[in-house]
Amino acid sequence: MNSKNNLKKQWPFWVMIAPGMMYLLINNYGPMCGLFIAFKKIDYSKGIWKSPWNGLDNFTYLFRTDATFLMTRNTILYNLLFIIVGTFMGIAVGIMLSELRKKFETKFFQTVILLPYLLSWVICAYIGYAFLGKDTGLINGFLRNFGLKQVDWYNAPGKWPFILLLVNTWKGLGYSSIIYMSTIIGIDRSLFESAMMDGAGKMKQIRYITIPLLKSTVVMLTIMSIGRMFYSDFGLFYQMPMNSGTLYSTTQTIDTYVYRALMQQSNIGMSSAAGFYQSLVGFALVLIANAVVRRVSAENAMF
Amino acid sequence: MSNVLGRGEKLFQGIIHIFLIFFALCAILPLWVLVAGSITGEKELILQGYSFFPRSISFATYKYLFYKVADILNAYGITLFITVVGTAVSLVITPLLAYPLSRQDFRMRNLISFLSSLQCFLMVELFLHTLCGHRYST
Repeated sequence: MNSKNNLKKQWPFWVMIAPGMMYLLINNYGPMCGLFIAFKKIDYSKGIWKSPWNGLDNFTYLFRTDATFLMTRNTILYNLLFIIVGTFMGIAVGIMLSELRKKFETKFFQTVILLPYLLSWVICAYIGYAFLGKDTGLINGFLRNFGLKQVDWYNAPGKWPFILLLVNTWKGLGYSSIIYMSTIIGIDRSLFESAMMDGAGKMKQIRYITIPLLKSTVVMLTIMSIGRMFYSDFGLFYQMPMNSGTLYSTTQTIDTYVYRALMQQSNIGMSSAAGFYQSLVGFALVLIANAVVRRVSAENAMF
Repeated sequence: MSNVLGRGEKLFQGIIHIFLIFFALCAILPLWVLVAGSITGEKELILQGYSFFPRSISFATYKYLFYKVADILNAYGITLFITVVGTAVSLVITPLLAYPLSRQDFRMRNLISFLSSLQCFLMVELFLHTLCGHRYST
């Protein structure tokens, strides 16, 4: 009786969530059924259904190769690096933007700094080529003019963590600084005025008012980013190095590995296994991140 | 807010302006290199490489693009279509999904919230927007 009442009363809700849930079920949850491919040895002549099962073989092979350790290490380290540097730069530029006095300046700088965020990674890859190309690159041209030796950037894996960090910051700065700036602008102005009356200079105001009040946002964003630790920006790691093989040791992440294993080796079983591994760990991280968020500030938790 | 800037304030404003102009330049100059490269003559490009100042102006690249206008317009059409229709559809479906989740008296709230947010978690934009919805008070 109770449930019938509820259903009658709540049917508008069900109707409303229907399109969204339908989309999620078809587009996101449905394809999960394909996970069984990770446990098969796919033979194209037999097709997917008739290919033999090979249990955990794909996974054991995956974990025995060096590639897995490399790609996991790359993914995690890059994410940590990006989180730390990105947050720091975003806050710094956000504070700067919030301190501008003329509205025109704020809008101008915001728009210009946001510009790289709107470019696609393919374009950024070619901008990178314009800078880093061996004979035609801007940087090598510079080095040539000053009599220094040229650097073959696309064959020097050691330099790419810095290059990728630079490019990722360049691209993401506009977006993250706008987020922090809008948070700062929401801070009550009377706090700053009373601080000024107490004789606090600009730097002290930033240190004791702005940054502590930003802490909540920063913590939330950071924890969410940690939840996504096992995912990487595919465009960044695949397009920027222009798919150069020598750079794999420092630019291969789990996502690019899955893609390349699929495209180059056509080994669907292996790719599925890698994807499965990524999703499992990612899921665990999401659960952990959400639990932590729930402890830190319950209303921001997702479930 | 007082309009008279003390010396410390002036210095601070000067510093942030320098930094912001630097970041703005960093954002624009790579794009300029690309544009300048598209205008440079081919021989100079191969011999001397990309530079901020094109050494010889030649619109050969744009002439080449002119022959491919049909393909490019088609590509733009597809992009435009996906953007417009995609945004419109998501602007309809997402709030529809979100409203019942925001109601405390929705019975399946926890389950649906779990299912949707699990997917949402990987969609940065959506997430950051919901996060930035909280306001600050002292």
